[in-house]
Amino acid sequence: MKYFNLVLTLAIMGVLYSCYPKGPEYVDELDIVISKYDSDKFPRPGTFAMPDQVVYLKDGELDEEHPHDKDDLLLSQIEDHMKNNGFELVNNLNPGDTTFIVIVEVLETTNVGYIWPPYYGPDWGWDPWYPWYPGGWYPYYPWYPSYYAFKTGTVRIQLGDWENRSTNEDGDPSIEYVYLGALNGLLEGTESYIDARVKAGIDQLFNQDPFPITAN
Amino acid sequence: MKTLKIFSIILLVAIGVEMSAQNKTSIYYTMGIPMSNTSDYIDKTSFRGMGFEYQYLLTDNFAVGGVLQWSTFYQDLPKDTYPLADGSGAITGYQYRYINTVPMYLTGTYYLASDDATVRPYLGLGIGTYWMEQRTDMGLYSDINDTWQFSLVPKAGLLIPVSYSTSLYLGLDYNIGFKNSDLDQQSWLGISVGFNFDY
Repeated sequence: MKYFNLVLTLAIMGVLYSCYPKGPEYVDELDIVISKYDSDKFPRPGTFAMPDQVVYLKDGELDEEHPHDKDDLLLSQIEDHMKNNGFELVNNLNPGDTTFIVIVEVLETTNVGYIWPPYYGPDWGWDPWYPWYPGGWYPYYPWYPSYYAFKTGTVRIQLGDWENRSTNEDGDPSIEYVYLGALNGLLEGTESYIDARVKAGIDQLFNQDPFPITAN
Repeated sequence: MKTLKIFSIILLVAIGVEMSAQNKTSIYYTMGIPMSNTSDYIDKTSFRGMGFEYQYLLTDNFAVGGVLQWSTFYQDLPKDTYPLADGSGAITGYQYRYINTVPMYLTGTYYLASDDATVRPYLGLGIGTYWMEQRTDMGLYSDINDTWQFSLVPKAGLLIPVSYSTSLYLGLDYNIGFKNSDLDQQSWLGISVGFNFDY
């Protein structure tokens, strides 16, 4: 009886801990789509210019070796959405012709780290494969160190206000971004699975605030 | 953290008072039905919780003690679009909401029947603090808001003796964590089942 409360308490803790809610189960449940804009400057009617390539960045560095085989797919989808929202495509950056320039970037980030997650194993108990814990002091048992490594991908679409560009101290053009749209998720799964997620993400981006733009 | 230390000292002193047959300990499983602001954030009942209560009987019918408890509320929401807080955009994704709470409070309990009764109803009141963590996960990002709230807990329940020193413990408590600068008032109805031990 002396230790009954302790044993019962630990048992209940164990059962409850194994039942702790786990959150997302599938990779695409971690996909998010974010839009942010300066409502004083966007949306407004105008024209836009598209780049002919996507910029790739890997862990913060420009990745010039990255293949450009997906560029057309990404750029044409964005171009279609811009046109569907009333913006007219122009193929030059002449003063007076172009209102916005579109910049498309793909960022790949490798995340590594060290965490002490709770143990989510299917059968919480005295697991024989974990034999090296100090004897008799079990409560810390469900906690074990773990390294993690995963890659995330972000597609970033920005609209620069070309019409109202200024010149900085060095005499170079300075362009203010008036809209940012971003898709972010885990880079897991087959290529076609990732492509489908990106396509759905871009469609979603042009379907949430401030899009769709009807009175342009 | 300071609040936790003060509470721990008081609890230890209370436990350290002469150990005679005047002590009661309860351990219990607890569910939580969210109310008001808590329900606005998570409206699903929590089935994850447990608690521990120690009581020292000052008279045959009146006890003082302390409670340490843990409950987790959880709800996942389908894919949806939410406006950004400053109104300048939106975010779309699945949302996973959690409230982790660790109530710690001192109690006063009045037993409406003597300890040889078949059923021993009680009324009580708890005053203390709740550690609250409200966490919203979207994608690979979390918005975490954790804080300590002053709490008040009206309680009622029954002890049903099953042996000389052991009783079945059935309890209801209305948990109120008062609004502070970090978090709105939180409240839920707790339903607890467990065992009480006299020693």
